[in-house]
Amino acid sequence: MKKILVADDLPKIVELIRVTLEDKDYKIINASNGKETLRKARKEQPNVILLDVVMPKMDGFEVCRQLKKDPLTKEIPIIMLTAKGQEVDKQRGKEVGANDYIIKPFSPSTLSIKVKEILA
Amino acid sequence: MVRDSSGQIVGVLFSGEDITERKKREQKLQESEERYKVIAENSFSAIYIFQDERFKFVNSAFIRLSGYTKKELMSMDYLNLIHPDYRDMIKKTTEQALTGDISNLPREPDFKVIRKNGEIRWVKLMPAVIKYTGKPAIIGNVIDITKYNKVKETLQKTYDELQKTNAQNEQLFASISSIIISVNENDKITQWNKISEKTFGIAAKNIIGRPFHKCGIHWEWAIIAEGILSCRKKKRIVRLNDVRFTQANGNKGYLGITINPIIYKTHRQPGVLLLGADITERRRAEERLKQYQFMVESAYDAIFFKNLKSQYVIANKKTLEAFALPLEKVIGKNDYEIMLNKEEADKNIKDDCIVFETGKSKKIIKQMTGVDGKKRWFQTIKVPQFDDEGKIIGLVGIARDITEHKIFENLIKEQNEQLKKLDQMKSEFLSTAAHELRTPLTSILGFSEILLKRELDKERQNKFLKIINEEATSLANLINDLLDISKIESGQGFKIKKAPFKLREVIMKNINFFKSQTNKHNFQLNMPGDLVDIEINADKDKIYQVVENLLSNAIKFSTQGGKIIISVEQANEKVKVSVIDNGMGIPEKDFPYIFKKFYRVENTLTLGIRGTGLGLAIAKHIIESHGGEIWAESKIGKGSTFSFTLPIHT
Repeated sequence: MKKILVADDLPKIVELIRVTLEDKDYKIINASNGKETLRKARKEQPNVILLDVVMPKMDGFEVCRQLKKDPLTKEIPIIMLTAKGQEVDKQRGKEVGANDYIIKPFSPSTLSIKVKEILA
Repeated sequence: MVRDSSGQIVGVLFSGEDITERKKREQKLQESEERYKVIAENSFSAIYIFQDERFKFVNSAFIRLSGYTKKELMSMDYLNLIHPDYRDMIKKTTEQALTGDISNLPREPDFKVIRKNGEIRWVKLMPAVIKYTGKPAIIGNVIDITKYNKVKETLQKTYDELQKTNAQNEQLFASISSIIISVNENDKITQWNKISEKTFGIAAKNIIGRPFHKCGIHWEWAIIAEGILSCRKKKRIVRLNDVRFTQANGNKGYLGITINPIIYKTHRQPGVLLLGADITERRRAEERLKQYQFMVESAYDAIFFKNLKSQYVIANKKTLEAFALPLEKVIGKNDYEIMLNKEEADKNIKDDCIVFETGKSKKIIKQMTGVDGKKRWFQTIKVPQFDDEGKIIGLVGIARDITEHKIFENLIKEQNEQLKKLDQMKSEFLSTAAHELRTPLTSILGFSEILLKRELDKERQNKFLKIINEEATSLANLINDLLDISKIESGQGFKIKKAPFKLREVIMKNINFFKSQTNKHNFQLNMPGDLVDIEINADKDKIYQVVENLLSNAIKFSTQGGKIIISVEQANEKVKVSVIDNGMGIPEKDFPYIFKKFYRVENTLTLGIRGTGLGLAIAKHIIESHGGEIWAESKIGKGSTFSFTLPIHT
């Protein structure tokens, strides 16, 4: 079973992602702040991380940068899933090593396809 | 006695003759000679009789003239008395005369004689040839003309000197660079030098001899005529300045003239000598100088000249004003002697030294203590000054009080900073607003898609619909906030619909709402019993919005949970509501800005605390629109208290 780490501080968004991916054979793990995301990524070694940017304690860009630097986590694909939709934000996502960048609001089916692709 | 041939006396022979007449003649002659002798002896002229290479007679005047005794004279060679330069001439003429040839005998020859003591005297000789003891002799009358000759010599010398002086005067007259015009007692021009010709364009030959008042010069004749009159009357020099005239080239110019009286013994009216100069250039230079002086004096800047000792040589009005000192207390003094702040004086003088050493201008912007003791900003430029040989002689300083400019500059800088910050805040706001809009939209669109595409049980349908509803409400609130801020920005403000309502109801409604949203926080309402039913006349919805914002902030900034106290008090005619949290607090530097629109406390982003930076700005506007006040108190790590007041009876 593939593990997906959903890093978002808003329970409603976590719920939405959970529902979006629930009929697939995925295990959804949740982290509600940046530091928790780092810890869980190292510990759980998820197959993909869906990473929000605006989170308490450490923002998603910094989390991504650290994960991509850490040999333990650098291979884990990261999809930035964020409401920060400006070009400059997308550019920053690329710089810190994100594999994909999905802007909120997103279509659940699109997210489902993207996750499927990246896990294939 | 009669003797024979042997010589023996043989007889006596008497012979006689009547000599009475002869004796009478002889006596007469002798008397006459005696008379002449007496006359000659007592004459002031030196008289002598010369015969057979010797003096036969010398009178006492001759003895005094020669310095010899009579005896010496009678036996000496007469030529020893004659100066060597004249001996030949005297010897020759004397010899000729004694032979009876008096044709070459000079009449009253002047020659030099040598006295016994070697002294040389000029004499004039009046000789004549007479019979003395039956033979030709020369009688001479000698006059000592030494004194006369000396006078003559002096006169000659004086004459020569005079000639020389005249020549020099002529030269001087020609070379003098002044206008020289002589006018005689009859008002005729007698002198007209080259400079006069050049200045007026009239040749001397055309003007000398003409009446002065008709000389043809275009000038202020009335002034000159009056000057001449005054000069003649008072016999004193009259000076005329700035007499306007027409130059030789036709241009207008100015003359400086002195009219000097020439007093003749023989004339009743003095002549006049006009000495003048074309002072047009000088006057123009003076005018320019005056203009420069005026410029310097009326300048907005302090302008001064300092010598190499850093002493003020020139200081304009502004400089004196800057020191609040009169001119005499500045001129000749240096900054140490003038300025109260010795450190500033020291800096000034060091700057002067740099200019003197480098020979280059120096621009200085610095603060100086003004006369009122306040610091003022001055921008000074110090420019070295050189003499004709390129030697540095001092500096010219121009100092401008730029205090106002500096204040303005700082204000602009501050405003620019604020604008920059505002711009940055707006950019951040746009990004945040977009983010805050996207977030509820994500749930709305996401869950609605799931509801549409999947078959879900009723419970899940309701759950997702509730989420959609909440997020739509949140979105609506956000849009309302944006509209509110837009109204505030445009100056339109809100429409406040006042109506009496119970404050407690509004607070409790909020508490209950937030209790349903969070289980980390405890809410406590401190409201004295007498205030429980207090009513205020205000816009209920807007006051609800304010309390909601303050509670929402209290929750957001105390992420770990904790107690949130809502305190209500009455102060005079106002009711004070405070929302107190024990959260992270607000950094002091953010305090001035927290009620400004778009402003978000710096660490909110890194901490992931959501918000648009509009809530407090809107709250402030709402409270102030009701005539109340809103403020905050906070300590980092201890928490914050946000309070507002509202009038009770309004």
